[in-house]
Amino acid sequence: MTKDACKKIVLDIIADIAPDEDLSNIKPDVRLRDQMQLDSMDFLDIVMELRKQHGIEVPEADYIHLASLDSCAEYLTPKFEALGK
Amino acid sequence: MNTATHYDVAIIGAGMAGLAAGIRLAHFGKRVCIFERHNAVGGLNSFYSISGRKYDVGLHAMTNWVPPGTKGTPLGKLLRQLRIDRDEFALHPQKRSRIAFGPGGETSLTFTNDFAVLEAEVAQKFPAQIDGFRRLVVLVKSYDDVSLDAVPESARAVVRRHLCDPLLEDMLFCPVMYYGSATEHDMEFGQFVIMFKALFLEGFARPVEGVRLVLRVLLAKFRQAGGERRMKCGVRQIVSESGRADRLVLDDGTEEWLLSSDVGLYADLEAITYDFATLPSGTELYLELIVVDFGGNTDSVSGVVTVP
Ligand SMILES: Cc1cc2nc3c(=O)[nH]c(=O)nc-3n(C[C@H](O)[C@H](O)[C@H](O)COP(=O)(O)OP(=O)(O)OC[C@H]3O[C@@H](n4cnc5c(N)ncnc54)[C@H](O)[C@@H]3O)c2cc1C
Repeated sequence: MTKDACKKIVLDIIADIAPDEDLSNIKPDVRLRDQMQLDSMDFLDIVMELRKQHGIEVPEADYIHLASLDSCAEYLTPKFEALGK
Repeated sequence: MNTATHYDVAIIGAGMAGLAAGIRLAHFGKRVCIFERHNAVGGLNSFYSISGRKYDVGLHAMTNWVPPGTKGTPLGKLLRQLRIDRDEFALHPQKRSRIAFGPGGETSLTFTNDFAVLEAEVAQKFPAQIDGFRRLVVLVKSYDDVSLDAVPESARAVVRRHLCDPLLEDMLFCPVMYYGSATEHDMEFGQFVIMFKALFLEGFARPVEGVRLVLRVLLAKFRQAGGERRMKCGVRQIVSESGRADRLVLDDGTEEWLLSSDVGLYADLEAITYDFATLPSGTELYLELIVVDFGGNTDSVSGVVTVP
């Protein structure tokens, strides 16, 4: 899995849980919550979809790694790889 | 044989609160069941029809209406969390509302989903109060109404710091308390702010079809997410063992189990090993073995063992 593919997965999840957000200009190095309306409940939804759709567990202590698309890719790509994806 | 089912979560009551909680829990992969005593969902938000004419009970207007695309207000958050597309409700904003006081309704304030209308009404009917009213609105807009450590304060007392006409005060409190007060003649200020925003700064709307549509959408979401429900199935008692609710006694005397730990067991008979986290001695474990044959026939046994 490439980091770009991983970012795409995260963006697809956000598009599912926040269909009212425009995701065309999301900057990968800027915190997601600074670019759109995402509250802590929405982050829980991202974590839940990662588990349901991809079997990836993100423990609460690691939520901080989901701050931006870049940090998501950094943190999640090895997890996808560990699952052979 | 014990035929009880077990659930991660049991919700008592299929009112809107129960349905919404059920949708979220089911989203999070919990096995959830709503037990409802009545034969219809909705609770106080319900409906009936007499000779072909449809009536709604409870919800006649939905508060917190904002134009599509408005960010950061409760309506958008709620729809998002329940995964409801705004178009599914097809909300129609109100035309206008009126607060009328006096024996013949002599003094009245009209308000719409455009806050400027109420502001102009106050300026016209209570010219001496308009500056205080505007200051109150500034305070309401900037107040953190969901803060968990705010000191509770009387809304009447705060409002009186800005307004000194008791008639205007009562007229503003009337719809706000009607929708959201648990105390007579007063309410907590944070609650006042939530309701003031919901009614005056945001607004009212409803689906043309009314509460029926809202309930239909909620039920469909609950079902899609995998939730179960049992109608005409009241809960008589919640039984708890060692401080945890773990069993429900239903109105008909039968019992339902709740899982009392997060450990689920899906055993492959060939390799039937149990990998539980360490459980304290004395913990009760509910066991159920369900055998499904290739024809789909099932049989099961269940019992309780105590960790030695
Ligand atoms: C006349 C009226 C007008 C209203 N107008 C509006 C309005 O315009 N807009 C608005 O937003 N709100 C309005 N409300 C308020 C709104 O109806 C309630 O706030 C809302 O219904 C509360 O939902 P709930 O799910 O918390 O509880 P409820 O709707 O009370 O649901 C509780 C459910 O639990 C079930 N139950 C109770 N005990 C048991 C048991 N032991 N076992 C199994 N099931 C059980 C009940 O049968 C019921 O279905 C109005 C209320 C009334 C009465």
